[in-house]
Amino acid sequence: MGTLESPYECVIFGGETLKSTLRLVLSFLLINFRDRFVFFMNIILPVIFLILFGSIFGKGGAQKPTTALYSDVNVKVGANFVRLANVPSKDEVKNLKYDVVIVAINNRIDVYVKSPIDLAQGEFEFFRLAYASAKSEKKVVEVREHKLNIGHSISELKYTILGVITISFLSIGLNAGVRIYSDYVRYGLFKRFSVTPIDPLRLALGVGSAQVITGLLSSALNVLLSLILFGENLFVPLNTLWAYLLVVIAAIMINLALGILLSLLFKKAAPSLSQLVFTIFIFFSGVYFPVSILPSYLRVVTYLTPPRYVHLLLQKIYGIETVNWSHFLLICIAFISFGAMMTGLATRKFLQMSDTA
Amino acid sequence: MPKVWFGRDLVVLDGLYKQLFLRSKEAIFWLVVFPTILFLILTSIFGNVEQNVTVKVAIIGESEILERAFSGIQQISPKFFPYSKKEKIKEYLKALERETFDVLVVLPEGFDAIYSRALLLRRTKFFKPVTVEVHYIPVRDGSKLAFEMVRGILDTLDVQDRVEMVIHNLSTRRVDYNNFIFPGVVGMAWLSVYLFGFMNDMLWLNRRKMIKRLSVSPFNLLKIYLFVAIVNLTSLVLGISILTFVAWLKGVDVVSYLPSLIFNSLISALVLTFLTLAVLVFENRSSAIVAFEQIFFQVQMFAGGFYFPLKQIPSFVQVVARFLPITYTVDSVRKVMGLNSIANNHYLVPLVYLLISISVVITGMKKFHKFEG
Repeated sequence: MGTLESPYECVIFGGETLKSTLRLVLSFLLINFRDRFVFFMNIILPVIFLILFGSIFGKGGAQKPTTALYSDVNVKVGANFVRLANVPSKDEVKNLKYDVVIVAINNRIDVYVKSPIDLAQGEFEFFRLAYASAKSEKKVVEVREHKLNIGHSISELKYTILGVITISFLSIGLNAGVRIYSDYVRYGLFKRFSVTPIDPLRLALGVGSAQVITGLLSSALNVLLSLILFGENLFVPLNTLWAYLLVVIAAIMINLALGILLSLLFKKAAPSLSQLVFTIFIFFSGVYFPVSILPSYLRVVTYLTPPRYVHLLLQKIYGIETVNWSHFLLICIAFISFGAMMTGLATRKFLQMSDTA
Repeated sequence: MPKVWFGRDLVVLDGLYKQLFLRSKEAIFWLVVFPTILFLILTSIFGNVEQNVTVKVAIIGESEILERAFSGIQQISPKFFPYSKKEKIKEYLKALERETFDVLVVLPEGFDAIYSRALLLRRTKFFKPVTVEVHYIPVRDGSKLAFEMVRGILDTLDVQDRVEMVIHNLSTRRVDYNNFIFPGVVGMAWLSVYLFGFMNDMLWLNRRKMIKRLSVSPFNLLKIYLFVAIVNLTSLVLGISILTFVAWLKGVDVVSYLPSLIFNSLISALVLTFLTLAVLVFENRSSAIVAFEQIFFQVQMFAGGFYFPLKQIPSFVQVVARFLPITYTVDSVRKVMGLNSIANNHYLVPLVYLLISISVVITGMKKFHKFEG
C-alpha cells in the first residue's frame, strides 16, 4: 500500500488509493458473507420468504375455496367459491368441509355460517347484489364503464416478490448500520482504523458500496429464483437498468442511515431495537399486506417507513404508475443524500473519537 | 447433606436468574414484552379488516334513490357533488388517478325522475334504460372492487329489496380475529423463549466456560440445564401472563383458553427444550446456531398457521407445516374454540420430536458436556 502525506489528501480513485478502497469494499463485503447471522438475514431469509409467500400467491397455490354455493341462476363469484350441483340438505350443509354454505333460490338467500370466526359480512352483501343482478331480467339502469388507463397491472405474486426484495434491502442496510456503527465500534474496529492513514470518506464509501453490492446480489438471486420457481420474469429491461441501480443504492443508503441513527441513539440496545423496527416495518409498510386493510390512523405510519417508498419505486421500474419520474428521482436523491450524510458523519465521529481516546 | 445441596442449588439458580433474566434487558424485552407488542400489531392490522376496508365513491349528480341504496351498505362511503361540477370532469378523473376516491359515477341530470319514468315504462315499448357513466381504474384492486359494487347496486336498484337474505350461524359461539390470533402469538412466545432464550443461554454458558468449570465440580450438570430451563420458563410464564391480560382487555375469551393453554405450553416447553438440546449436541458454533434459530423460527411462524387458518394455506405450505411440532400445539389450543384446522392426533408429531430429541440428548450427552471443545 502506498504511503500518504496526509490521510485527508488522498484522491479516492487514484492509483494505490483506489486499490485500498476496493480492498475495503471487499472486506466489508466478506463480512456480509462470513457472518452467518448477517448472511442469513440478507440472503437466506429473503429466499425463505420468497418460497413461502410465492407458494401462497403463486400459480401452484391458488386460494382454497371456503364457500360452497348453490344458486338457481348463474352468479359471477370469486375463486373462493365452489359450486354445488344440487341443493344440499341440512345434514349435508353440516357435513360439508367449507366455512360457509350459500343456497340461493327464488329470491331468497340462505347463508349457513359454520366457522365460529366472524366472517366478512360485506362478502355476503356483495353476493346478494350479484344474485339480484343475475335475477334482473331487464335492467333499468345501463352502466357504461370507462376504464382509466394508468399503465399496466402487476400480479399479486409480483407485488409480493418486489416486497420480498424491498425487505431484503431493509435487512441489509439496517443490519450493516447497527453491526458496523454499534457492535464493531465496541469491538474496536474504528480504533484500529484510526491508527491507519484512512480517511472517513474512503471508509464510508467502503461501507456503503459493500452493502449496495450485497443488495444487488440478493435481489438478483431473488429475481432468478422467481423465474425458476414461479415462472415470474422480473428481469429489468436494459433501458431501465439505471433506475433499478438507483433504487438499490437509494434503498440501501436510507436503511443504512436508519441503522446508524439507531446505533447513535441507542448504542448497546441498537441491535435489539433494529429487530423490532424490522418487524414493525414488515407489517406496517404495506409490502406484504395492502395498506388499504390498515385502520386510517395507522395508514399515516406507512409514510414513515422507508420500505413503503422503496416498494413504490420498484413498482415504477416495472411500469406501474405509482409515482411520476420527477418524484422518483427526488425520492432517490433524498434517500442517497441522507444515507451518505449519515454514513459520512458517523464514520468521521467514530474515527475521531477513537483517535482522541 | 441434602440441605447443603439444596442451599447450593438455590445459589446457582439465583445467580442464573439474575444473570440470564433480570440483568438482561434484551431478554426481558424480547421474551416478556414483545409477544404483547406483536399481538397488538396484528390485531390492529387484521382485527377490523372489514371496517377498515371501505370504498370511496364520488357521484356527480343528485339522487335520493341512490343515497338510500348506498346507505344500506357499510363498505361504501359515497360523496355526492352537484351536477354543475360535471364540467370539471377532468379534475375528478385526476382525483381518481390520485386515489382520492376509488370510483367516479356521473349521473344524468334529474336522475331520480328519469329512473322513475324508466321503471314505469319498463314493460312497454317506450322503455329506455337510464345510462350512468362509471369511471374506474381496472389495474387497481380497490377501484375494481368499487366498480363491481357500484355496478351491482345500479343493476339491482329495482330488485334489491325483493331478494331476502337470512344468515344462519351454525356454530354455537362467535369469535373475532383477536380470539383466533391469540394462540398464534402464544406459539411465537414459546418459540422465542426456547430458541432465542434457552438456546442462547446455553451458548452463553459455553462461551463463559461455565459448563467446563462445573463439570469438574460435584455439581450435577443436568441440574444446570434444568435451572436454565426454569429461568426461561419464568420468562415464558411472565410473557404469556402479560399477553393474556392484554388479550383479555381486547375481548379474548382467555378463560376458555386457559386450561388448554397451560397444558400445551408445558408440552411445547418440553418438546422445545429437548429439541434445542439435541441441536446443541450436533452444533455449538454460535453463528450456526443463530442461523438455525432464525430458520426454524421464521418457517414455523409463517408456515405453521399461527396467523392464518392452516386450512386456507396452499397444500405445499401445509405439507411443510405438518412436519413442524408447534403447528400442532398451537392448533390444539385453538381446538377449544372450534378454530382448529387439524381434526385429531395433535400430539403424535410433537411426541415423535420429543422421543427423537431425548434419544439424541441421552446418546450424545458426553459430547454435549464437552461441547465447548
